[in-house]
Parts: sequence; C-alpha cells; structure tokens
Amino acid sequence: MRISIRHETRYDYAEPAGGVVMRLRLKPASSNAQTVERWSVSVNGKPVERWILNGYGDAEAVWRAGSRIEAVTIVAEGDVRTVDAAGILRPTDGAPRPALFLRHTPLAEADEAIGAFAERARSPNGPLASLHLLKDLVHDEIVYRAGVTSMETTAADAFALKAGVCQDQSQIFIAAARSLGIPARYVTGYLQDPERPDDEHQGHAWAEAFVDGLGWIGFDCTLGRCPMDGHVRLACGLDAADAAPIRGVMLLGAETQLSHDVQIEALPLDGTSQAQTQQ
Amino acid sequence: MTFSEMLGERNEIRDCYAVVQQWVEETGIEGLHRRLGEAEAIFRRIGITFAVYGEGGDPERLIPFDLLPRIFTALEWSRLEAGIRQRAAALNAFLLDIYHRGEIIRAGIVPADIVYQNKAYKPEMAGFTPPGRVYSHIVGIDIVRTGLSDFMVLEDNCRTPSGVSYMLENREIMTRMFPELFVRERVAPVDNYPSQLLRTLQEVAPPACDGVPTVVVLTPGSFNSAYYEHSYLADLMGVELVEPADLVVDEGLVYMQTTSGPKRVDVIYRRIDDDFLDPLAFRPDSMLGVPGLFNAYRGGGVTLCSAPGAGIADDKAVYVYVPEMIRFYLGETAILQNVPTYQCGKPDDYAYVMERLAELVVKEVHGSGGYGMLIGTQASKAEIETYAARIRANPAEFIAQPTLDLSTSPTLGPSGLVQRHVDFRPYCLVGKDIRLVPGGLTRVALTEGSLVVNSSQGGGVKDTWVLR
Repeated sequence: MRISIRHETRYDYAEPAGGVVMRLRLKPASSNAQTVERWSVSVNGKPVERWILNGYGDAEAVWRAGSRIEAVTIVAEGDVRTVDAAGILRPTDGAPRPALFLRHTPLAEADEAIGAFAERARSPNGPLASLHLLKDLVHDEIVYRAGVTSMETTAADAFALKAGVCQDQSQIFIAAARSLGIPARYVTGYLQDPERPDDEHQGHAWAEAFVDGLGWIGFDCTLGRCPMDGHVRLACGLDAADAAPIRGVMLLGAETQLSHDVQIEALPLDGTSQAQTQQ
Repeated sequence: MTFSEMLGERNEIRDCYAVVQQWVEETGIEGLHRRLGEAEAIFRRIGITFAVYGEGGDPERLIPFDLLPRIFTALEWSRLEAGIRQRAAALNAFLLDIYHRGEIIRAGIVPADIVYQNKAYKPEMAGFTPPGRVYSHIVGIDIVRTGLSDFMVLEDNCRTPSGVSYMLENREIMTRMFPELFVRERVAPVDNYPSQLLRTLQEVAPPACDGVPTVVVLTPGSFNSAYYEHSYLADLMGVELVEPADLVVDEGLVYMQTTSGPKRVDVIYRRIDDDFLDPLAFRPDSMLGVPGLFNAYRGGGVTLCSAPGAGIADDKAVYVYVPEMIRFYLGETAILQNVPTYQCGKPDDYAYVMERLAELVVKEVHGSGGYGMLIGTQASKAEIETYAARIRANPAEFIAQPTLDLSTSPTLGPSGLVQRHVDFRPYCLVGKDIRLVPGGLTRVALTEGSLVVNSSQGGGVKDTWVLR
C-alpha cells in the first residue's frame, strides 16, 4: 500500500511563551515493512533538518524557539510505501537489548488484576501463542471507548475500567506481556484502515513484543490483529509517555491549547506519475 | 587483629612513618593541637565546608581535619595504582559493552536483569558511543586495607565522585604550615590534578569541536552541598563554572551566555545527576537542566562527563561482578580484590545472611553514604529485627558483607595519638589515557572503634602521602 500522511500539531499559548523547546519523534524510518518515499517535518514553516538516532533507534530532533512565541505549528508529512510483513519487524543493529523492555514503568505496570489477566493468556505453545491470546483478550475485554481515559491513565486504571483508547489497550497488553516475562514496547504511528471512521483524525498506537528467533512483532489490540500494510510505524518507547512523538518544555509558562489533525489516505500504488508532475 | 598503618609486624614504627613520628615527638601533643587550630582557621577562611557526595548532613559544617598524614610507600602505591587503573579501564569497558551488544550478559557472566532493569541503566544511551569510548571520566574507587598487603575495594564511584578538593586542600594546608616535613620526606605531588583533569576533559571533545575545546563545570547551584568543590575545580582549571540556566542548545550545539555574547561549549564536566540534566530526555518535571542537551550530546555536538547512565557501573549489584569484568574485558586477574559480598536476592546467600545478621554489614543495593546500613556487630537486637523485616520484604534490594577490620592510622586525640579506622578514595582520570595522581582522599572515623568514615557520621579527612 502507498499511504499519504499529513500530521499537524498546534500549540496556542494564551500569552507569548518564552524558552519553548520541543523534542520531536515524527520521522518514520524505512524497514522491512515500510519504505519512506518522501517525508518532511517543519515547525512554524521552517523545515527541521537535524535528526539523530535515539536509544531506541528512532529519529529524534530538538526544536527551540528563538524568542517568545504565541503559537507553534508542527507539520509532519510524506508518503510511505508499506508491505504486509505479518507484523514482524526485523531487528536493526544498535537497537537496545530486548530485555530492557521488561522494565516496569508507572504507566505500564501490571497490578494484581493485570497479572491474573496475563496468566489467562499463558499458552503451553510458547510466547508467540501467548501473545496472540493476550491480544485477543485485550481486544475482546477492553472496550474501545474515547473520552473515559486520558494521556495519564495507567494500564491498571484502564484495566479496572475495562475501557479506553488505543493507548490504554496497548499499555495493558504491554504490562501483561512483561508480567509473562516477554519484552514489550509501545509504538506510535499512523493507521490507514478502510474500516476506521473518517472523522478520526488521530495518530495511532499499538504494541510490539519480542520473541526469540523472530524479532519484534506488532500487536494491534484495537484492531485485534497484527499490523499489516495499513500501519506506518513512527517511534517506540517503554510506554506512551516515553514514546511520545512530541515532548516540550517552556520556561515562562502560559496556558496552552493543543490541537491535532491527522490526515491519512491511500495513494495509487504507482507513484511515478505523481513524481513526474512535480518536476 | 587490626592492622595499624604505622606499625610493623613487631610493633615497631614502620620506616615510612618515621618522619611523622619524629615530628610528633618534636612538636608535642599540645603543639600539634595549637597548629590544628590554625589549620582549621584557614579552612574556615577559605570556606571549605561541604559534605562528600551523597552523604547529606549540614553543608556548612567543617569536616574535621586531622594533622597526621596517612602514608603509602612507593611500593604499596605501585600496586594500588595498577589495581586502580585496571579497575577504571574495566568499568569503562563494561559500560561500552552494556550500551552496545552486551557481550558480558550474552556470555552469562552478568545477569541481564541487574543491568536492564536497573534505573541507573539509561536506555537513552543505547547504541551511542561517547568520544574516546569513555563513560566514566573520573572514577573514584573506595579502598580499605585490612593488612600489610591486603587492600580491598569497598565500592566504585563512576558518576561524579566528590572530595578531590579535600585532597588538594589538605596537601595545600600541610605544605603551607609544615614545609619542613616536605623537605625531610620525598612526597609525590598531587597539585597537578586540576591540569590532568582539564587535559582529560579536553581529550574527549566531541566530533563537532575543531579547535581547542572549551570546557565548563556544570553545577546545580550554590545550594548544592558540593558547590564549593565545583567552583574550586573550575577555578583551578581556569574554566567557567555554569548553572543550567546559563546554557542553551541551538542547532545541536551548546552555548553559554557570557557578557560578550554566546560562547560555544564543547565539554561539560557536569556535577548534576542524570535525572536533572535535560527535562526533554530524563525527568520531565525537572526545573533544573538544559532542554535538548542530551540530543546535542548524542548528535556529537557536546560531551558530557560523566556520560549519563555511567552510574550503572557503580551499582552495588553490579560491583560483585567487577573482578569478572576485569577477566572478561582485559584478560587479567583483578589486582585489587572485592570485599566478599552476599546477594540477598540469591536463595543461598539470603539464608546465610539471615542467620548471621549480627556479624555482617548489610547495605541497600542502591543506597549510598552509609545511610540505611546495618552494622550487625554494633546494632541492638531490636534494630536487627527491624532490618531483617526489610530484607525479607525485598531481598534483592540488599547485599551483605563481612564486618571488615579496617586498618587504623595514627590520629591526633585530645591527649595523645590514637588509632582510628581509615579508608581511601583515589580519583582516576580516564580520557585518551588513564591518569592517576599519586594520592587521594583518606577519610578517618574519628569516633573510637567506629568503622564508618562518612563525613555525615563523624568522619574526618587526612592528607595522604605517597612516598617516592
């Protein structure tokens, strides 16, 4: 599939804000599952060009406002060609050891209830079977419902509610997988899915778990399946906060209003005609 | 039988202490007390009043200074030096390994969980190779002695070990007040430490630096208990002392604000904990820190000394494996031994420790500075019971060691010389080369019989002589 993405994030400050610095993880990398054909990130119209690879192997940049500002608009856009890799991400060199992703974090910590839930998914057929069972259990028992949780909701709290959005479903899956001794991590990205409603102008999130011999395997508990060619992977982390595409600080604070808009569409598979018209 | 640093096998004064012995006899105890008063007045005037790293306590309190130096012979030092350099090299090799492929874990020598599950292991550092492949540029190794040729490492300090200003000040005071001693005895100088430190820091300049590297010392500020040392070292190196608010990151490079405009900074000797370095990389709620600093570091625009995440190498759970690291990375046998250590997380060790709490010293794996420690031989039954409950609740958080009979060094008491227990912290510098000035900080437990040398618990300091 060829997917076109435009992801705009806007911060409006009630009064001009000073010392605004932001960390961006908004640049997808090419892998066995996706090829980035075209991608750019800009802040207030100026392209962001200095990217480094962070400890998780994802691109990361820092943008700093030169003076006090009233608004910051971050636009990430481009085209990505995807293939269905059955959810498997081939390991790249320099990536941290999977065992790191057994670490507990406040947002993705298994309490007793999640621990017991995870045990229901434990399969005699090994970790891969357990993970598939776990994904199905989360998909079936944690209802997708917007508005009942927030960015700060922990896996344990969402589990008690038995409801949440993709962030909550993913963090519950991650906490449960870790309690089974399987390394798992949080993934941010985009989803082109014909079954998804059009008005959902949001980023997407899912989980990856590590299975010896296979590598990192994606599990999308919201859809109840592994990522196929509709998923574009952006970045990962121990939990949602750690993987956040944008993290910012400001020195002289002002009330901030945040707005998002994500537009995703499938492109015709043959990209040559478009490239030619751009010349 | 406690080893006295001053006495030989037949209770004779060891040759290396002859000059000190003679000086004490000539000056008399009263005379020594008078001179000590003068020394303390000087210390107060220059304002050296801070606690050694992480020990807490009142930062305005003067740490007691003992006039009688602690002395190593040239031969003793050559062995210590080899052992210290070896350990500093192995600890850095370990850090390079665990932030890359983790061969020592794959080889089954160090368990994965004590590294990757450890808060001191920073995932942000994974896959990054710092300039010169150095993570810990100043390695403070705490060494105790239990016999004429028995030295053991109590713990390593790979982050930002402090106390080196005492080494320099103690020597300064001694040479100023008693120049005649240094005429009689050939004592190796330590005053080149600041220039060696500067050289070490300049050697690890980042790829973006193409001239003479600009070095700064980064302090959390004047409220920090070691602020004196931060400003003292900056002064002696002739570099700027900056606070986080003085630094700004722009396009992957770091600048300090100066009266003549922004100036590029290449190497930061930071005396701030990892968590407070950069709110965009580490603790987001930290008001301290320089936003974007870590990104600039990973991008090769600036060097942080020590590297974030270097603290994993001095974790007490990792300490146990240092002799094996030396074998694994250097192919050598450890010159300095570890103190035998029981890991309460291991069932056999746990059983052993719980039966012998009254004989052992038990420490928290992540603790420092002698707080939260149980000294079984000096604890009451009730204290041991309370502590045992804590171990039972979380065995993996504790290690235990035998109560060591630390060596004693002659110390000035109210009415004569007394024997007090001492330890020793040398400061090993790691840049392109490994450097070690002949000396370090000797801490002394001033309370009779006490084995705790921490300044927060009644410890003092001494000048340390290495004879030539």
